[in-house]
Amino acid sequence: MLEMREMQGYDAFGSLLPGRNFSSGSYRFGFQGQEKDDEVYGATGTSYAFEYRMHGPREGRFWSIDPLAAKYPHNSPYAFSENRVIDAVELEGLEKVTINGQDKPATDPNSLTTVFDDDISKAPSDQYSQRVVAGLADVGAKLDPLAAQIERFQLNQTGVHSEHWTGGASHGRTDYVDYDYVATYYDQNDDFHIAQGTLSVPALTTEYAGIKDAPLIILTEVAILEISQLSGMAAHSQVGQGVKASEQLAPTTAQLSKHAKIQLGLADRSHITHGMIDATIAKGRRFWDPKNKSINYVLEGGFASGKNLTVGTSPASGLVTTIMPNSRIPKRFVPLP
Amino acid sequence: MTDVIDIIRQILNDSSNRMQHIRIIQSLAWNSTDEIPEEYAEVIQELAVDLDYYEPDAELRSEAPEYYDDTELERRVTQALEMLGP
Repeated sequence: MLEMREMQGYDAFGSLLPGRNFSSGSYRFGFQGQEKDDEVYGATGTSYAFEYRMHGPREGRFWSIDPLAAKYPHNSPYAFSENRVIDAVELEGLEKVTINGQDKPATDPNSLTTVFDDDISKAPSDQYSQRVVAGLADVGAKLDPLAAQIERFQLNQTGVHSEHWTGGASHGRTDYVDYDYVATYYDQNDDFHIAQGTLSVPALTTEYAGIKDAPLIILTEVAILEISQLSGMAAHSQVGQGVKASEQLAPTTAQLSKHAKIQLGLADRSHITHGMIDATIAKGRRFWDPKNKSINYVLEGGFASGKNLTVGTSPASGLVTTIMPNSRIPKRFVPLP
Repeated sequence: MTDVIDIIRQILNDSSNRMQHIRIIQSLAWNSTDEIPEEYAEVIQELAVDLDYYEPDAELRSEAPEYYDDTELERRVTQALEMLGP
């Protein structure tokens, strides 16, 4: 006969949901398979012993600093799962591991973690990743400046194909990297297409305008722009093989301008879904932006990182005009009822 | 902070890479707020929002009156630089 010993409902950081859990007390493990240490607070599920650190689910933070903190200065040393609690799990108190299989632990030399990270303010975790980031990520760029029928495209899935070096391992430089890609783009009829191919992306320095880290994605954009003019015909030639947007994308109630659709292809916004836009319009606070004369819906703390999702709409056209993952509401915004 | 202002200036001076400089400013404004002194933060935050309405393509710009062109971009960026001081 089977006996249910435990049933737990957790919030995203592992805190027990009131009224949605019970425990016989005989099972030691809980959130993310980690061992509970109930003696600290005298209540079940209030602290967990990960391999390297103790986690406080009610605070959503580790109690001690990351053993790898010196190696990852961009991360808060106390952050649990690098604050990625929706699409990632914590790896033994060291770092996040996403659960969709797209990326691997950043310590893996073949990691693409940084590339798929939604927080572009983070520095790459190691030199290898820096070079990878310089050529990857979701970017908006003109596929071919001379092709009127194609406006812009984005790389929304990529994988390192091969890397080409000059010099030795310690002081060498990467000349270019080949990537397998899946490009999505809209044609003049606003139809959505997908194309696949391989791009050779020139590697660029990871320092730009004197600022480290932040411009990485911009460098990516430059790189893709350059290469798209050189060999973007691979995607161009597959226009006719595309599929319609209606077959690929879930319907949305919010109508987006082309400008806004392109924004969704940018690396810092590619994780924003149409559903999130709809939810922001449905649940967000409304503000009038007197300067841009737009109505903005702000879902405060809409991201796990704490950032807001701001959706700007045009009173004139009714279209969604801008989609911003910003960190604060500008003072000039006037609250609307 | 000087670096940030330099990048804002690049929006004006380096028109061929304008979009790249805009994305840098937005990234700094939205992801690195601790690195920007409070007295400048509001100006840069508002500028980052304004930059999101910049659309160089006339056809795309025609979809909504909120979008603006290079001339207006230069006016807004210049105004922001004046507010940030010399």
